[in-house]
Parts: sequence; structure tokens; C-alpha cells
Amino acid sequence: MQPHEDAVPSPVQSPPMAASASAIKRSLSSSQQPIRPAASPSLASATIDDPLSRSEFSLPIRTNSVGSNRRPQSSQSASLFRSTILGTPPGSPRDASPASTFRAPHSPARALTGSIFAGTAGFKASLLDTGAGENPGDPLNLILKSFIPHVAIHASPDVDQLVNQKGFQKGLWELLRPFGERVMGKVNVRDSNGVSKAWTDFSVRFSRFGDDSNLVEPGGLEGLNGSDEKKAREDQQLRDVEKVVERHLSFAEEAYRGTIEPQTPTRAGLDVEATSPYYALYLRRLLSGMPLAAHESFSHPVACVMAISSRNPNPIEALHRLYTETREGDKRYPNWVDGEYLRYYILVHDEENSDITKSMTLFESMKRNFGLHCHLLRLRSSESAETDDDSIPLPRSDWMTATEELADIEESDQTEDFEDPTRHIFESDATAIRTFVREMVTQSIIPTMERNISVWNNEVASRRRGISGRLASLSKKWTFGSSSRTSVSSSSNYDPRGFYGPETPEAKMRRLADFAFMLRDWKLAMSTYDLLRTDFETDKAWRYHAAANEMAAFALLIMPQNMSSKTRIETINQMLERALYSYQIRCNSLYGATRCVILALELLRLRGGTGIDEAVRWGIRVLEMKLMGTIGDALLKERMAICYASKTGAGSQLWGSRRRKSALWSVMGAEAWVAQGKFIQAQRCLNEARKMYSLLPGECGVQSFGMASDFLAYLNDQIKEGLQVVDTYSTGEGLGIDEGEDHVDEEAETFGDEDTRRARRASVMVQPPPTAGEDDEGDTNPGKDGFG
Amino acid sequence: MSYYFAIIGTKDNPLFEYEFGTSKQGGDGQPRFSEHARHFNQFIIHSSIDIVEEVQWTNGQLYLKGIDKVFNNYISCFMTGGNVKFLLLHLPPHTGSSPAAPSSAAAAAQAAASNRSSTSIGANPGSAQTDEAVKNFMTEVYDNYVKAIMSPFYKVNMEIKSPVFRQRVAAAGRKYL
Repeated sequence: MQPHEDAVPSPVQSPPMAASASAIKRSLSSSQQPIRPAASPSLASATIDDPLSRSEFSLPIRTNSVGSNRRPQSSQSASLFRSTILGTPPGSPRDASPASTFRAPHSPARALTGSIFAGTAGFKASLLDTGAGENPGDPLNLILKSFIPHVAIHASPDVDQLVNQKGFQKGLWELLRPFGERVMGKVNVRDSNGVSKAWTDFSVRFSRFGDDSNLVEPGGLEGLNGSDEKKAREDQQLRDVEKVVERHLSFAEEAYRGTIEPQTPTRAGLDVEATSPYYALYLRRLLSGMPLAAHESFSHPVACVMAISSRNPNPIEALHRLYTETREGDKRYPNWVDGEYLRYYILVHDEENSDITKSMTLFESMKRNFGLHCHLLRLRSSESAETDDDSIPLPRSDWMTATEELADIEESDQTEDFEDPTRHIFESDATAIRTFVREMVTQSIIPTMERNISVWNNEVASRRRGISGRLASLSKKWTFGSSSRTSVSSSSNYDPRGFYGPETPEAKMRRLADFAFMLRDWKLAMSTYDLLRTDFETDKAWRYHAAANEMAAFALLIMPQNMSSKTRIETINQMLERALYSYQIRCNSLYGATRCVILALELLRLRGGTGIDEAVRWGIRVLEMKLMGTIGDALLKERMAICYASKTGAGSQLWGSRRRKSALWSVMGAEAWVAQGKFIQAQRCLNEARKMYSLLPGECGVQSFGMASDFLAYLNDQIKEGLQVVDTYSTGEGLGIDEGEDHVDEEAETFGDEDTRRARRASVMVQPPPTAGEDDEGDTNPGKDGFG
Repeated sequence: MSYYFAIIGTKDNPLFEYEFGTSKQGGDGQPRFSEHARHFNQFIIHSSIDIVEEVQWTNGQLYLKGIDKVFNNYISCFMTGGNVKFLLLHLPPHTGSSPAAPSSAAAAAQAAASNRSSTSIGANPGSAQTDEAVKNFMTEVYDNYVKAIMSPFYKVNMEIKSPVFRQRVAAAGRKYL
């Protein structure tokens, strides 16, 4: 298993200059029109195969030896920021797995469905078939990898002791966690019609049993006003996400200062194809903090792994004790979580200190006692050092929550000699764990889920779908409801404390829909959520109502359907509107509202055509409602620019494209970044805006608008000042314009006639008068007016 | 209610720009754009050309009505012969210089309140009356525009500097908006 040693370069080592330079060129030439010939094709092709190089241009990190003014420990803490430094999330288990070496050629979802410059292909296919979800970091991929089965891990003290010896302080959970992020090989899933489909990127999330950090208690009165404590917790989560991204950005900014020659990052624009690492990080942290709440069952356990080790003197009793704890201990899940999840028993065999024959006997008796959901996991008990021959680095989990990551970063700030958090394990251990995860998922978890789906589908959902079910729900609505409110609540299963008990048909159906969504049976999920929407509305269970609407919209967006794109978008908008209103106004849940809109706009964007305009409309809603903090706003503005840029036009004039709109959003993004002092990002946005403007048929962008072009020049000055690259070029020909501008000019030459170009050059060079500059300075605060 | 009116030439270049405020309902005719909004108006108008280029094919009329909305700015368009576009950006008064309303409910309530309190075209950028008023304004400006460019010294895409034209646009604004 050598490959992942190449695939996961240590972030501390400087990537070769040539590679990153060619990556920059590639990002320039690939994004719209390859006007510039790729200067060094050999270099480009050398890096193109490497999946990690995809967004390597965003690498502002250099080694300690180059940057002399950096704090000594930052090379160490660089590993904390690896997820944004390397575009691809590090993941040695998955990179080492045979499946991950195959990477489908990247085919962006470019569905052509403009309103009139339209193809019709847009909505016919499932989004998954368009290949949009293949890149880790792509929003669709993130969505697929966040709505996945959760597996709780409950280990006996002796297991944790064994794992602690291997260097994992948080026990078995910490060791297993990265391996859940990609289940090795193909995973076959049968949908409700019995059609089986194989997924290569299936994953599960391991959580700690009894971990209540993300617990959100349902509140009885939340329909009226959300309880303060809960709200504070949810808000804290959003703030933590912001803070984490902020730390990553500052780290990049700081690492950049004084370490690299000026023009390296300033040339790169936004890349339409690859998601910005910061935006991906934002989404990932947002999604990884999925609350354990009553109204959605995604973070409820699908299974619980109970582990004992071969050191345990009374293994069978220990397992019984663990089992009892999941039933009635203090740490068991709240009563609105269905207690009938799968129990999976593992015996951790200590390869170095225990006798394998004894363990085998024990394992046999476990099987007799507990049935087939058992596994014998053979691990070595000593810690693996980096220098060992067969040691491989175990990455930190991609899906750690914002709070966890923030704690790590803060710790690295405080301690002087910060230790690299990367752990190493033995190759044999990794293989054993990978096999265990695969076996558990394919032989226990998925069959159990499939069985549950079919049982619930027959028991509850199909009864509701039939004629009698509809009549029943109607009668529930009208015959009792007309007289008084109490009779309604007596006929409903909605507990006044704010949840449905796990045995109620509503809770079962919600779980059915969630299971279907996790197993990617969109059709079943969609139809079930759709039934639930009306039920929850009748019961005035607003949080449930919001969540059902949200998920129904997602499922509808992902699945293929033969509806005209217009009716479909209307339906989706209606669902989102309700979800947003319920989340925000009725339940006061910022987290829910943000997640709902951000994910929906990403899916809409992938749908192309009018979906893109809708996506931006939702984006504006988010900005107007001030759901996110300043970082989130800036990221979103940047994202809107990419949204519009991904709308392609038709014909030679590219009718129906949105290049001017895209440029507008890039400018707004640049402004927002400048206001926060994040100049690298700002520069990237500004370059993108210029590139877009230069691609316009009129080719002069906003240059003939006086104040607008002054503003661009002003932004440019601010960024240059911020990046401390006070123009080295101005002495030469009096061109007070940095590299990025030159690049735009070169592109423009291919279109332009001489006069307009000169005119434009002249107007670009106009520096804003000092007074105007001061005025602007006062006005760059976001939120001063409608542009917020 | 503040307006920003621009005539855009065939190469996305502004031929004429004019900012004014409403004169109806006791308005003083002065624009209430913040300093920040003034250059962003230009960006927004420019970006709306994308939408114009798409909508112009769907509609047989020269007047395309409201075509776009960016934050709280509403944009109406009138096409002329020769691919010169009249674009009018209107900014309803209640968010003139204050930050956007904190929540959509508040915004909705505010909008509802202003709907009730005044039926002025300024406050209801989406309404049919507004469309009609903007249409009258555009038509009048168009008449004057045609007369202005009939000048023998005028060439395509040249900026319109005529003070008379400016006065007439101002008059049309006072009359209809």
C-alpha cells in the first residue's frame, strides 16, 4: 500500500514551485476560454493526473525555512489547516483503497436549460448521473457524505486502554473515525423496487456513544418561541463554523506575508470547476455539526458498535453490561430516539499480548450468544512511530465538528511546542479496520436498513398512501378539527413536549424517509417526506415540518424526474419557502435555515438553466436575512459569482450567459474580503471579475462607467497595499497596474481593436482622486446599505 | 424612492446617466442613494444587461417591464432600435440608506404596511401602476432621445451631452415617477 504515501504529501514540505505555477496556469486557462496557450504543457500534464493538484494554486504555504518571520510552531500547526491547504481532503484510508485510485474524468454538470436558450436535458437525469458529485469538496459530494448512517461506538474500558496505548487518547472512536469516511470497495444497495445499485463512495459516520455535544432537546413551546438555551447552542455552532474558516483564512494570509514573491497568488482567479477550499470547509463544518434532534433522524444511531478486548477477564458479561447501558444507562439516547437500532459486537484482539486461539474460542462463543453481528478485530497494541517501515499516517477526520477543530487550533496557539496531531498506525491495523468497516456496512448495516425500509414501508407508509389512508388523514383534519382545538391534539401523535415518540407512525415514516435518503433511494424518500409535510403541518409540529420540507426539496432536486423544469422549480421553491419560514420564524433555528438554503442553492446551481437564477435568488435571501456572519457572507458572494459563471450561454454571443452578473458578484466578494483584511481572497475575486469583464463581447466591462471603474481601481489599490507588494512595476512604464491586469490586457488583445483597448487602458490607469478614496473607505463596511 | 436612469450603448457603454428622486407624494425629486450605492448602481445596471439580452427575445414589445432585482434594486428596461437600452433602477424608500431589514418577516410587514399606507408607485416597484408609470416615462424619454440623436453631429455610441435632453428627462421623471 505505497500509493497514499505519495498521495498525501506532508503539508510542511513545500510543493515544487513548478507544479504550483503550472496549476495556476491551468486554472486560468481552464475556467473559460483557453486564450493563453498553456505555457508548459509537460508540467501541466505532469500534475494533471495527481488528484491532489486540483486546487494546488491555493497553496500559500511555504516551508519554515523560506519564511523566516513566522512563528516557530506554525509548521507544525500547518497540519491543522491541511484541509484548506490541499484542495482534496486528506484521507489515507480512502486513498489507499483500491476504489479511490480510480477517478472518473471530471465532467462538470453543465445542463443547458436556459429559459429560452434552452436544451431540455436539465431535469431528466439524476444529479448523481451528471458526475457532479465525484470530487471531494464538491457540494453535492459533501451533501452525499453528510446525510449518512451514524454508527455509535461504545467500547469497554479495556478497549480504550488498548487504543490509548496506540496513541489515541479518545479511544476506539478516534481510531475508527477516519475509516468510516470511505467504505472500501463497492457497496450494493437495493432500493424499494428491488433494483440493486453499487456505490463506490459509501460512507458512515462514527460517533461516540453518550456524546451529547450536539444534542438538541425538543422544546414544547418552540412553536411560539424557541428556548433561549437551545438557540444559543445552535448559534454557537454557526459561530464556530465561521471562526474555523476565519482561522484557516488568517493562517493562509499570515503564511503568505513576506514568504512568497508577490505575483504568485494574485494571478489566480476563482475556479469555476473546483470549489474554493474555504467554501468547502465551511459547508463541511456546517454539515458535520448535524444536531442530534428529534425532528430528523440522520444523527440517530443506525447501529451501535459494542467493543471488548481480549484482555477482558469476563468478556461475555462485559458485552452484556455494554448492551444494558445502551438500554437503560445514564448515557443512553433520549427517549425520542428509536431504541431498536442494530447492535454490533466486536472483539478487539491484542496481537502482541494475547493468545489468538483463546480469542478465537471467545469469538465463537460470542457468535453463539449474540448472533451474526460480530467481528474479530485484530490490532497491535503498540504505538506506531513515523519511522517504522509499515506505518502509515492516519489523517484527522474530515468531518470533525467545528467545535472540535476550534479547540485543536486554540490549543496549538497556546502550547509552545505543539505536537503534530497526525498519528501513525501500522499497515496491518489499517487493513484490519478497513475490512471490519466494510464487513459491518455491507453485511449488517445495509441489510438491516433495507429490511427496516421495507417493513416500515409496508406497515406505515403504504397504508397512508392508499385511498383509506388519505381519507383517514382527511377525517383527522376535518371531522374533529372543526369543533375545537383539543380534539385535534387528542387525535394527533404529537407529544406536547415537542416530539413524536419513536413508535408513532410519523416518527417511523420520518425514519423510513431518512433511511431511504441515506441509501440514495430518492424516489421513496421524496414521496415519504411529501406525505409527512402535510401531517406535520396539521399537527403544527413546525420543526418537523421545516425539516420534512427541506429534505423533500433536496430529494426532489437530486432525483431524475419528467416534470417540466418550470413546475419543478416552483414546487421546490414552495417547499424551501415553507422550510425556511418554519425554521427561521417559527422555530428560530438559524442553523436549520442556513443549512436548508445553502444546500438548496448548491443543488439548484447544479441543475443549471433557470436553476442558477433561482440559486442566486436564494443566495440573496440569505444575505438579506443576515443568517451568516461576515466570513460566510463573503464566501457566499464569491459562490454567487461562481454560480453565475457556471451558466453557459448559447451561440457565438453566448446569449443567456451571466458573465456580467458573475463579475458583479466577484466585485462584491472582493469588497467583502477587503473589508475583513483577507487580501488573498480579495485578489482572487477581483481577478475573476476582470477576467469576466474582459470576456464580454463589448470587451470593456464597466470601464466606461466612471464611478464603477474608479471603485475597481480603488479595490485594487487596497489589495495591493494589503498584500504589501507596493507596485514594483510602476517605475517601469508608468503602468500602475499589477500582473493581473496585464494578463487581462493580453486576453483583450485577441478580441480588441486598437482604439477601444487604448481607451480602456487609459481608463484603468485613472487612479481615484484621494477624496473619492476616502469616501469609499468609509463605505466599505458591509451592511451599510442594501448590498449587505 | 430613488431612481437611476441610464442609456446603455451597444458596447455596454453608458451614453447618458441621470439620478433623480420621486416627485410624487411630496417628494423633492432628489435621489437618496448612499455614497456606496452610487457606484454599485453602475455595477448593477451593467450586470442587468445579461438579463436584458435574454429577455429581449421573449417579448415583442420594446418595453420589457421589470426584468431584474438585485437586493432591493428593481430594474426596468426599454429597448430601442439599434440595440440601445434604457435601464431604470428604482430603489424603494424604506431601505434607502438603512441596512436591510433584519428578517424577512419584518421586511414583509414593512412592505405590507407601506402597501397599505401609500399606493405610490415608489413604494411598490412590482405593481402594475409602476409598470405603467415607468412605461410612460420611458416612452417620453424615447421620443426625446430620438430627437436628440437626430443631430447631424451625433454618431453611434457617442455620449449624449445635450443639456436640453437632460432637462427633458428630468421633466419626464417629475411628471411620471
